[in-house]
Amino acid sequence: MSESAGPDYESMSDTQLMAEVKRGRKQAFVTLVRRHQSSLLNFFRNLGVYNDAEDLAQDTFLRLFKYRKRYQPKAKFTTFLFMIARQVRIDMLRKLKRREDLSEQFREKAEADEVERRERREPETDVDALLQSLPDAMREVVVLNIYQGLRYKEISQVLGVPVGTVKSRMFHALRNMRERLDKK
Amino acid sequence: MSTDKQKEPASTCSQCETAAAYVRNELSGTVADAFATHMRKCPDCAAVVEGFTEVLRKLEDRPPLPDAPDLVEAVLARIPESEWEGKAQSREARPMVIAWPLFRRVAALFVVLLCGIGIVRFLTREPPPTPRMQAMDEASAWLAASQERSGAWSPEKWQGRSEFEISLTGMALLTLLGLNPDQAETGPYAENIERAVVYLVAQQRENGNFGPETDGVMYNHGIATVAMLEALVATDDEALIEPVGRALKFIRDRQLDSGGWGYIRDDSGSANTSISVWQLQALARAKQLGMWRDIVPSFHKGLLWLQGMVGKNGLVGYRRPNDFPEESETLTAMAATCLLSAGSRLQGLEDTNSRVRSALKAVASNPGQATDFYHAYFLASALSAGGEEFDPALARIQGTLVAQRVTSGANAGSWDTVDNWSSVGGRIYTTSMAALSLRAGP
Repeated sequence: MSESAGPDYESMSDTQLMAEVKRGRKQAFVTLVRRHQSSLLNFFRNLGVYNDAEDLAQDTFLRLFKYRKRYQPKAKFTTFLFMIARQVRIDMLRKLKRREDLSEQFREKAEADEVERRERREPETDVDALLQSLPDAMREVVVLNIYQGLRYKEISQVLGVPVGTVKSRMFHALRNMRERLDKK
Repeated sequence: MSTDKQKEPASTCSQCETAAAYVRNELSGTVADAFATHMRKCPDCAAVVEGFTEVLRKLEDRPPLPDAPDLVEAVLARIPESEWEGKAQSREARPMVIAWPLFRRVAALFVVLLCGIGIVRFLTREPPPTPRMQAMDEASAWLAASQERSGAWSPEKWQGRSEFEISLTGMALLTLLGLNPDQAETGPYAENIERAVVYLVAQQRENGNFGPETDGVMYNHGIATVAMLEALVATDDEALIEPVGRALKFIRDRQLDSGGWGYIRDDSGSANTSISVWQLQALARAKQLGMWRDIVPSFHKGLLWLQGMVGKNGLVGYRRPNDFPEESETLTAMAATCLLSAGSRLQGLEDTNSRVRSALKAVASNPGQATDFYHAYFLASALSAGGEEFDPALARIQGTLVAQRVTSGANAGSWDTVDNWSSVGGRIYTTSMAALSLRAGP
């Protein structure tokens, strides 16, 4: 058993760490990043973002820092984190869409191909193919529930939709994937 | 995009849509049982569940994604050093970067403001208050309204015993701090919190003890110290470091050779779990803050003593393993709160924790009929420390507490004095324990 020389951030909960980050404690923020970086990267990868996953995870942590003083720990920390992550991804998709529109407008085929390549690529596994076969709204629910371990209620907070919608999306997602497996 | 309105399959019964929530354990116990019964008679639903289970197996068995690189350096490089503690730069010293003509700057500022407000609104939008949140808000309001001018909460006024004024004030303070995070200095209860803190500091004796040395002094002192530690964290008030340090010293001074804590006028000199857990909670929080290195050996010694109270079946005894003068469930939940929060990094704790975790599962699955707010508080804390697998059990306890609260009349927002310990702590105790139970977990 070793004695600690400073705050034992490793043993603090996410909420306690956020309180420390608000006070400007850099090491508390480092602990939060290390604790959630893997989960966040996988969130983006499971949603089909490959090349830009690291950039999006970085942007998410930066926004988390930016909005640290507004964080109200009435909801679970991960709910707040994924709410930000989702918005970061939406912003990226919008940016790509704008570039795609511009490329088409100026008939720059090469750039349009680049956009296509960056966000959509050939699935590497059957599971990737199954996930990519889903509409985005369903895929989000599946990824948040199955891979990120969020409950329906938490997902409803992340997406800003009623729990009933989450239930329905999950049902249709599982049914779509089941039908796809049956066709094989 | 009409993702929610897909075409329905040809021959499925109307309950099939419940299948997804069923396989994901998202149904309450009663609804899940009802669906399982229905499924035995409905081949459509049984087939859907079987199909979904196979899909889930496939999704869960996917090969692991590549290891994540460490993002810390890259993220920190994008945050100015001046944002961190002790690196603040004066406004005057910051270089002016934008040198556009005035009207462009104003226009840009306007656009940035509009976008900023939109983003902030999006990110900080709060879901509509759930019954649980509403109950927490109402409990805060009731506690604030029942505080005395002195800053204390009066036991006698609320059917409690006067010798526990310190612990009840500590409990109420802990509740206001816990239910209103980040609002200790500016929120609606900031003044209540300040008055309670000032009151407790004024009661502290030279030796660090909060209040008179009654039989229940270690309850009073342990609870008050936990509350003061949270007040220090919430307010960052350096003036609290000294009294909290003295309070921690008193805990160290009163630690028995065995490692636990007990009644101070108990001639047997034996420690008990109930009193020890409050002292350990204070030491655990202090250790997290890393400001008092001298408490660490005392904390470890206390944890070792508590480990020794755990029986082979994971239940925790009062003065020794298998010693249950009243019941074992609350003691087990109390000890689990400390042991599971301490993690498994301490030597020997892994094995103990696995036994305690098993016992906790049994306690959580059999909540009993009688209301016991003390039990509910520690069970909620232990389930919260135990991780997500206990979330459904925690939600059940919290649902029961929400349903039990007083919703009308002068005591709306509080909980009635209906359990075994109400004659000791009165309504301040019932309300604080119930409200803090609601705060636990996600």
